[in-house]
Amino acid sequence: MHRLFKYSIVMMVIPGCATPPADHAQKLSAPAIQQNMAVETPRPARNLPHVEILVSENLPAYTDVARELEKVLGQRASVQTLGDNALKNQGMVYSLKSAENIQIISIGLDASIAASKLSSKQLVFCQVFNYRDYDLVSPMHKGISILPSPYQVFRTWRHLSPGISDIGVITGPGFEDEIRLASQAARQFQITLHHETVKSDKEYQFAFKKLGKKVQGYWLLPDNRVLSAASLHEVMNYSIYNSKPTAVFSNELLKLGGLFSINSDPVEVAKLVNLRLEQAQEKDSIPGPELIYADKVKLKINSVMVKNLGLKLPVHLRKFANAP
Amino acid sequence: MRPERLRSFSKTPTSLANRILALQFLWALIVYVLFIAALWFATNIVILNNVRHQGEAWISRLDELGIPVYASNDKSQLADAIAYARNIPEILSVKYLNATGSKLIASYVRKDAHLSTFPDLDEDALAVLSRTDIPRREILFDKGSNYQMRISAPIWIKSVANDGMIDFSMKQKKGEKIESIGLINIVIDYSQISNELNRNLFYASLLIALLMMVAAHIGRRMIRWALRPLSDLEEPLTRLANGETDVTVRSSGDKEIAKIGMALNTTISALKERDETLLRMANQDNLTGLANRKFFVEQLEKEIGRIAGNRGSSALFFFDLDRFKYINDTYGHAAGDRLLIQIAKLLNQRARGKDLAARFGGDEFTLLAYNTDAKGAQELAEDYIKLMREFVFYEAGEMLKIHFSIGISMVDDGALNSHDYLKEADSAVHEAKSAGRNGYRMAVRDADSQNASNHGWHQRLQEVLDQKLAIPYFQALSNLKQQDVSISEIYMRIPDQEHGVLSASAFMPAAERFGMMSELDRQIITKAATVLAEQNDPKQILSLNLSEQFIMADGTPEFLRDITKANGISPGQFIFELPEHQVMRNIDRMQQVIPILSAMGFRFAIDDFGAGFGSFNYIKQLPVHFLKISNSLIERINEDGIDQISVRAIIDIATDLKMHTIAKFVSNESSMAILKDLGVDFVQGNFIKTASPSLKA
Repeated sequence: MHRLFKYSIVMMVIPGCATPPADHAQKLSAPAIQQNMAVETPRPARNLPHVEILVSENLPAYTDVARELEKVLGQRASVQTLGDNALKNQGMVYSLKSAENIQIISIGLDASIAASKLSSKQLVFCQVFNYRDYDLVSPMHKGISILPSPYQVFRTWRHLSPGISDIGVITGPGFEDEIRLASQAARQFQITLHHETVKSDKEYQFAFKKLGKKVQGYWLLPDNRVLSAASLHEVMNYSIYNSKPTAVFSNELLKLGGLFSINSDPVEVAKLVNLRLEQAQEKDSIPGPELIYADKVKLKINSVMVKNLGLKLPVHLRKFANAP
Repeated sequence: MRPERLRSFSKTPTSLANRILALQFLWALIVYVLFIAALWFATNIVILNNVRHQGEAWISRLDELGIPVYASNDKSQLADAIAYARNIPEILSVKYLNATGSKLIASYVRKDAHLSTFPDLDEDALAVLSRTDIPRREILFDKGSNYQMRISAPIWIKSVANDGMIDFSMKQKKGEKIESIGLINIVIDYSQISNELNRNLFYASLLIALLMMVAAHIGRRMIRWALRPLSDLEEPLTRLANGETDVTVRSSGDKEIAKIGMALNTTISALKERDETLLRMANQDNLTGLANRKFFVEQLEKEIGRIAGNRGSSALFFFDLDRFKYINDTYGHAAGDRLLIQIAKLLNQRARGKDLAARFGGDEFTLLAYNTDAKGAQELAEDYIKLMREFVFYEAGEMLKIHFSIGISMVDDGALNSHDYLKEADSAVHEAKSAGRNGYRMAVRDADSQNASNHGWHQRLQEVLDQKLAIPYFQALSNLKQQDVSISEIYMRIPDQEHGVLSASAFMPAAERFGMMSELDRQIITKAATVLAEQNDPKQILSLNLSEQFIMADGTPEFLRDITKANGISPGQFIFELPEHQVMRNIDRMQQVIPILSAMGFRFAIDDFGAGFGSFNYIKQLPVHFLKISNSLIERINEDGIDQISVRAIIDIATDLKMHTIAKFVSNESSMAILKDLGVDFVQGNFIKTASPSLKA
């Protein structure tokens, strides 16, 4: 465990590897995954396919990944951003159907939903949380998780709040596997993860407050189905009033009282996407688990909340701390 | 007059200060009522708004607490919501419904709560509540009875757009999806809040009323203080209203009050002067400045009363000018007036300080010599006789000797009245006249034989009035121009045992002295009207002389109007003759009465026209229809060319002014022929026709 901890700290600054949701027991170990990723090198391509990158919106979280992919793929890649015109978007996707020797990357939910129509094409999606509601996963379609490595998340929790033992997490339906994986990661740090499934933002609020009796902190996941601006505002207020540290998925939420925000590193995401495409070249499907996680994360700590909550910021994390 | 004044003054209900105070109180009361009403109205609005705001907060909280019932069918999920609602006594019930409001998902009703009946939400309300395309959900408020309110709101759930989480921003809610999953309504009871506020309002209004009463009390004292200078005017003004003019109003202090005071003092001075003038006018004879008949009789009555109590004696003198009528007819009325003025001066010259001299009527004067006995009265009478002997009246370059006779009655018996003494003095003066000019006689009270022979004018005239014995005599006028009218002049006669009837010259002076002429005129006019009514001939016209007393009496126009109306005759059937000297003496009254009567249709003639110099002036001032030419111009018209010229001039004037002319005292054929040639309309005289008691004789 100690070794694992040390490795994880290192992984915060160097590219890590992904962990598939299935077969968690064996694949949760980061070094093992790292080893797998290191040995599985792609075969030399005879005729490398063209890579079409579809982006949902011009958001930094998406364009940063797209830019990294372009760097890696060079002239093989072209980027298209979906617009507000649904017909035009459909036309754009339809034109890819007939393309030969092509691989697709979709960044964001809308782009992934649109690209899911290309069932015969190899597709790797990323920056998508709710992939299950839209059946984005198939043998030809695999993804990179939007969530940071649970291991990194709970390791950060432990460093920032050594006394924490129970953390609550709330999602919409369909994320039992991910939560199970996260619970295992939490247990490694003697943390119990309490999960509630809700159907709406109101339920989210209710469940959030209800969980408050059991947990000392929360981990907010970016499930757009059960979150609204109002509910986020409400739960963040609740967490402040009740001195409950909260890990958030957006730097914006640090301003509302989040203790730290933790996200996958776009560079790491881009590399993992490229890796999955390379592994799939000249194959009928994309090998590997449905989803793999990036181990390298971007961390930002709210120094104001650290102080307000009476926490002590470890020296090695100080470089990530600032006041939002 | 005084009681009326007092009564009118006492009608003033309140003082100015009280009125201002009453208005102030009324105003304050109105303000108070409006203020309390506004306060009550505003308070209720505030209560309702607060209840709404509070209700919104409660419903939002219950919305959140009740959300689990929409996630499962487990009613126990409502426990948190129920616990919350139970802790808020105003919440009577909570209902969670499906999105269309048709199905009750869960509910809570407070134990023993008496809910008002609220109608189900209609389609419009449901349509409003189901809208999700608006930034803020609609909340509906229904007011029920017993201070209850139903608040209904949709239960919204929201979710962020598909790609909205990765770069989540609180500021940008782009693509946020809203869904209405149900309805919630709560019934709240705000009676306690309302009662509490209304109770506080009641106490506040009591406090305000108390403060306003204190303010009103202070205001009352301040207004009284401010109006004190005005209140100080009340006492002098009350005295003034009661007829006192010996009042002085304070004219110092505030500028405005001082000005009022000065104005009032000026007014009081003017009133004093006016009173004095009126008193003087009421008690004085205008021509001579001596006391008039009315005032003299009043003073005589007073003296009789004094003597009745204190004994002693005074003397009543009655002066009768012997040649006044001659002066008047010969030298004109102006000369007659001048004579009267000089006689008045003569009387005052000899009278003692307190003695009261008066013009009693026409050419008659009286004197009340106070505190004198018979001897003193005789001495005084001799002094007057001596003065008159020495007196010479200069007129038209002639020296005229004037005489008068004096009758004296000693006022020494309180049992007699003024009429008795005047009657005694009147008899005495006639006795003196019978004895010769410039003499005097003392009335002998027990001389029953003399009084019996005269029978006393007063008593006789009173009998005439009481028994309506006046007799009209008619003298027809000759119509020289054949006009289609018939005019007769009426002469008044009274019965006499010795002579059958007495002419006016015999009883008129006495009638005037005793103030009976007006009644005699009324009697003769009444009889004339009866004759005209019997004749029933609109062309029959009667003319008659009106006495000064008739003209001066109140109600003359009304009497004439009534008498003509009662007899069904036209006022135009009367011509009233006014002697020129009478007009001259009473021109103000004439100008007042004659136009009124003329407007009613009565016609007027100036009698003795041409005898004086003022004749022409009067026809300009009065609406005259006939000129009755003075007999002094007619008597010798067949001999005197100047008289003819004068008559012609009068006729020319009358013609120009559309008047008719009458010549009286025509005594022969030649005079009548001349008058006809000159253009006179009517002539009269005993030569033509004598007066008779019958109109058609």
